[in-house]
Amino acid sequence: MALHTVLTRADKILALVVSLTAIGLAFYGRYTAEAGGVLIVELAGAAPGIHALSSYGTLSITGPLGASEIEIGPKGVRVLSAPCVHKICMNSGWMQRAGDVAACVPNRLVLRIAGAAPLDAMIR
Amino acid sequence: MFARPRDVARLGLMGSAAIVLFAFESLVPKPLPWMKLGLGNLPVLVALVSFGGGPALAISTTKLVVGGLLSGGFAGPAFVIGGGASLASWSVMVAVRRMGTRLFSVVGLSIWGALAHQLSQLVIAAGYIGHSGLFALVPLALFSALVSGGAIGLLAWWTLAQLAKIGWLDRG
Repeated sequence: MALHTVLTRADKILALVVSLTAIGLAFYGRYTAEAGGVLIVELAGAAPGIHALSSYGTLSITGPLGASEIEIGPKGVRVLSAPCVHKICMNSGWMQRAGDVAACVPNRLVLRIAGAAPLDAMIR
Repeated sequence: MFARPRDVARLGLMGSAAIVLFAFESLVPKPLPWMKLGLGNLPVLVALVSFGGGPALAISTTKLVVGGLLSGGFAGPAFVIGGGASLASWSVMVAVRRMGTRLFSVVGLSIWGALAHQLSQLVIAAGYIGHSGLFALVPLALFSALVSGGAIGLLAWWTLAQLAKIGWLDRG
């Protein structure tokens, strides 16, 4: 009844492929990530707002559920308070690298960190 | 679906087990909502292996509806995301099961289901918000699917072994 009698070869290959893909994607994300330059605030149905990470302060973004408070500080960006039930976005902690994301699905809000020149964000 | 009362009773027991496990798990604090173990999927997996695709879908749906009502999130975004992900997970597991019982063990089956669950969850969530920022979470989702799928698969394998011992799965 040991583990190796349970797992088939296909199981092991699947586990290996999934781990390698996850590690590969994670490293790809890290290597391509620049230091963050701006915070992009995307609220469904509105044009994205762009805030420089160098201007410290708090933002209040109002979505369908209510206001989400966001802090920009020396450590990066974090969500201070959210109107949703689960507070997942608050648990995301500080975001500072390009590509870091905090999302609040109930409030239809996504915070993204982008590099210095987020052309794609501005065009969209 | 079943002609015999005995099978109806067994399915009912598995359905209740799914609801209880789902409710129990929602009491446990978790770092991210999609990083939970998915204990409620254990009976779904056991039903799929021992009874087949139809009964597994019945249990998955029961868990979803009753669980949604219990947690108060019925018909909210989390419910839609969870429902879509459960359906995707079920479809993939049935498809993998169709390829034969020898190729993947219960553990492999469970990992496939968890992968489908995690990735479809991200796709539906991205559709809800309307853009693709969430896809930065794919590596985390893959890893989490491997761990939770593997753990649930091992539990399912153990459960099936115990059930076989007491003659639960006999077709007689």
